[in-house]
Amino acid sequence: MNPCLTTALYETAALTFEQLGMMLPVPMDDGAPPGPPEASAQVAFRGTIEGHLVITAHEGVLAELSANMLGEDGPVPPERQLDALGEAANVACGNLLPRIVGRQAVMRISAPQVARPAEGLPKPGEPVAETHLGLEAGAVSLALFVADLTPLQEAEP
Amino acid sequence: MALNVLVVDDSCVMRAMIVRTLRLSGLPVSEIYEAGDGAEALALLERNWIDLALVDINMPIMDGEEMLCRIRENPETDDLAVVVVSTESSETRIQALRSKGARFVHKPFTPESIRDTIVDLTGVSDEPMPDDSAIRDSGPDF
Repeated sequence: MNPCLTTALYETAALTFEQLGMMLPVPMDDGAPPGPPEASAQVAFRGTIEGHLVITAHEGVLAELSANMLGEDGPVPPERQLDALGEAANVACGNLLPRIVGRQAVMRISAPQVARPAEGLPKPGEPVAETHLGLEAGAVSLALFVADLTPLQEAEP
Repeated sequence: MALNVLVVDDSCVMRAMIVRTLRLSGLPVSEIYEAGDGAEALALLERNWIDLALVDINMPIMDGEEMLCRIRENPETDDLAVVVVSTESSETRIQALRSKGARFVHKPFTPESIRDTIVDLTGVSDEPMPDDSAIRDSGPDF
């Protein structure tokens, strides 16, 4: 794992769930397992670097996230819950990339793919950074996959 | 003047968030149309009078960048007020969108950033307008 990328991933995820989901994330550094997964959202990106960002929601996060985003007190339909997770992945990815590649680089982000655990998403290799956020309703895990980090290392002073 | 607004985003939850923000903003908003991609949005623009479009960039079928180009190429819509609401952070791409006359609001957004951008772009006021009851209650002016 790359510590700089892990820090950037955690901070971007915290900002996303605070501002988009109106939640109060806390770091999960006690190594406790985050609980059973509800769904995952995956966003692909390409440009200076290529890869994927995957967010997995555990336990009751989907219901809380979607209800907060929509400002609804009652239950949110399942397809809207998944859509909310996909949008969270989109926002997290869009805010993470400039921290990694700089604000001048042009990066293309694909539409999010969302799936329940039974449906599954193809695992794009081993992550270069991973983090977990504790939320009131449960937890979310984020994993960053990058095909080749060489362009970032070459750009370092 | 009440605005007819078109909200374009492939996420139905994000569209609902933007619509809710518009309804709570105090801005004079009349009809709100929704589209899930640029092609659907252009079809709505052909059939309806729309004063303002709030447009995402990363969408399937037709993205917001191409949609903005088509809008500017069409004499019927070339002066449409457009606000891009996106996670885009590349200064190069944001500058390219601004050069096509679009304003930019970054996701995640605050309701104030949406409202202030619309006020600045369209010149509409977010001051409450007197409704019929307020006029009635004020009594005769003599």
